[in-house]
Amino acid sequence: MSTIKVNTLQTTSGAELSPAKIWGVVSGKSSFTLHDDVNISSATDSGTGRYTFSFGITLSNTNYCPTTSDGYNIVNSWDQSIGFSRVPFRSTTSAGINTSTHISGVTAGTEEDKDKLSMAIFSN
Amino acid sequence: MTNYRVIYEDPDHPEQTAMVLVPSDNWLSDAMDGKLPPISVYWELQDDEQKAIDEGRHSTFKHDPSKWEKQFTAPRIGKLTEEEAMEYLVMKDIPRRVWSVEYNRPMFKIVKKEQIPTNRQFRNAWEMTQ
Repeated sequence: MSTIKVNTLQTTSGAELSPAKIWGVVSGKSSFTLHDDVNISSATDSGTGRYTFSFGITLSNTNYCPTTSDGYNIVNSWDQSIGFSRVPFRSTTSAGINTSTHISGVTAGTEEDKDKLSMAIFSN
Repeated sequence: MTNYRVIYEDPDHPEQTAMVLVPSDNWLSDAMDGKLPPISVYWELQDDEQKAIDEGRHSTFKHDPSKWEKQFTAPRIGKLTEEEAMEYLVMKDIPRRVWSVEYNRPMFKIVKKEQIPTNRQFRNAWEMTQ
């Protein structure tokens, strides 16, 4: 397998491409599991619905874009409601992700473990 | 796939439940292939960021490029055993106050996956003992 090393990816018209620099998928249900990742050194379970991703690389600053995807409440089955996930803290070496139940509208409920919860980080 | 986990408590937050750290298999593989820089490279970056936090300028903080580059350019430390990689990971990802200070009971322990309760209620009630 070959490795391509470049500092900037661009389209042929010059628009910059920015793939996720870091991503990871965890399950908080039953055994806490880090399923797969890129540039993550570890994931930490800090309590119900509270997790931290530690980065395998230190980012140059905290002006990065973390996106989170809430997971299933029951393995491979939607919970009939949309959950909430958010990033409670960020640094150049780690970021937190909390998940909650959904009550109504945009109201987040109590923190809850989810299956297949993910985070991707886009950064220069 | 590694069978190791790290459990630890934060001495600054004794009311919190014990935390469970799961290593990345990809990172562990890199560590065992000898792809890591000296741990001091990461500590230097952590110290600079902590100083910015303490001084209230974290939101505008940027790492010194010459220090930041070292994580990619510093000579690699060579291949680690799985156990050595776990020790490196503790020193990289767990707050220094947890493992560098001697307390009257252990604040962290490297354990096997099977030793950790799978039930969340048990896990939340868990505390480290000697």
